[in-house]
Amino acid sequence: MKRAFAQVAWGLIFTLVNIRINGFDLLHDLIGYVLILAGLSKLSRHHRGFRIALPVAWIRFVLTIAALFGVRYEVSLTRGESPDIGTISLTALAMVVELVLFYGICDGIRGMALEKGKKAIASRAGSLWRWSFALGALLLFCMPFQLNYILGEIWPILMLFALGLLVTHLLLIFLLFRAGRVFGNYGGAGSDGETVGT
Amino acid sequence: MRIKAIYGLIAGVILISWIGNFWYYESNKLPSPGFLRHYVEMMAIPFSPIELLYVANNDDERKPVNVQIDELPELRFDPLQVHQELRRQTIYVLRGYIQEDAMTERTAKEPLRLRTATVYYNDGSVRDEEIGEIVVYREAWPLDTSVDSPIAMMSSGNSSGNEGFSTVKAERPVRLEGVASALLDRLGAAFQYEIETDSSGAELSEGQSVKLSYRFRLSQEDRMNVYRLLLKETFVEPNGEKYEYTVFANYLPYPSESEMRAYVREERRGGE
Repeated sequence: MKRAFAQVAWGLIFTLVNIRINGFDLLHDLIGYVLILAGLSKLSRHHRGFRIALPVAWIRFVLTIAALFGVRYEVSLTRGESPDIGTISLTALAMVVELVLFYGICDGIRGMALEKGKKAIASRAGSLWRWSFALGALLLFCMPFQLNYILGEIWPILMLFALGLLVTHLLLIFLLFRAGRVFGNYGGAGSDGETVGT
Repeated sequence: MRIKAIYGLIAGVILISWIGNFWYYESNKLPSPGFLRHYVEMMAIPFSPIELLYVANNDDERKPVNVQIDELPELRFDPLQVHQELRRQTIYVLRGYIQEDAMTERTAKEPLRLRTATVYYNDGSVRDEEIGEIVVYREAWPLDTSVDSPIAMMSSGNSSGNEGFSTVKAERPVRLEGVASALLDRLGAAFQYEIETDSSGAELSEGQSVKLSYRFRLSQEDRMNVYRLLLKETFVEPNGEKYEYTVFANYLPYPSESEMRAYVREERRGGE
């Protein structure tokens, strides 16, 4: 189980960090989602939350493949862009999918932590989800205004939301490593074959 | 239950933001792209270009690539260029020139009044489009260069406030008979001009000047039209010989975002 948590955490790192050399992304999102899928497929046996996260991780995986063929699902909120309806809708869809992925992972960690009496981890997972949801909802609220207004004018506020979301990503990665360490020690020292009822 | 209600409320607010913005976005789209209305006079001679303005939504794929006017085969258009880019719409310009090498000898003919043009689009379609009214003066070609004009240009200018002037000087005694343009009646009070002379009346002695000042006073609705008047000042020498001096009065629309929104609203109302 420790390995499964680590896979999800490393997967998130790959999706979060872009190290480009001559335009080539050394930590490509595709590798990140393969790791997340690998980790979630093992964790989905342990809690309902991970079972929610698994199919949406597949959707993100498909979107990442689509991006390789030129499909754009990212819009800068601060560059004063005027995206078309298709791009902005796809960006919103990708964000909703990511929020559901977050919910699934946080709910899974929280549920497992409560079963094992790890209230601190459960509480951390709960609050992480609430912050992610709040910031994601604010960005989703602001996003369609780009169709009609130049949001670059309020970039400091938007930057704050985006930075907040980045911090929640980082905290989730730490939480995943921590969960792997804590839950991996229960019933079989990190064996992926173990089963824990939910 | 309370949590679900909060999530539902937030989802509702986001949904309202999306629906509202989509509605506003759609209601500010032109129902169909097309040419602005042009009220233009031109001379069918080289170096007298014509500009046709075409407005389209930024996400419209179809754009004109060429224009042909059957009555003026020597008029050729340059590729489409951007005249002004706005948040949702772009105004393009097609600039046409009379090609000197395509001109053939001709005697002066009656002016042409063009209302449609054949437009070729990038999707391969060809359509006859309404362009307004273009008055084309067809003088004799080649031009008579032996004319010894009693008038010489002194200065001219125009401003972004849609005003301009032109001052000419008499080289020998002449009388200013009047100013004419085929579009003066159409424009009415929307176009004003004044004449000031150094002399007390219309008679000019050698060295005296006449200044023609003009200004466009267009209503909100007319501001999206293209205007070019050829103001022909007619001078008569004591021996009865007539000369024309032409002053170009141009107006090209550069709408603000709110003016474009008003234009879109008007077009949408017209399409209903």
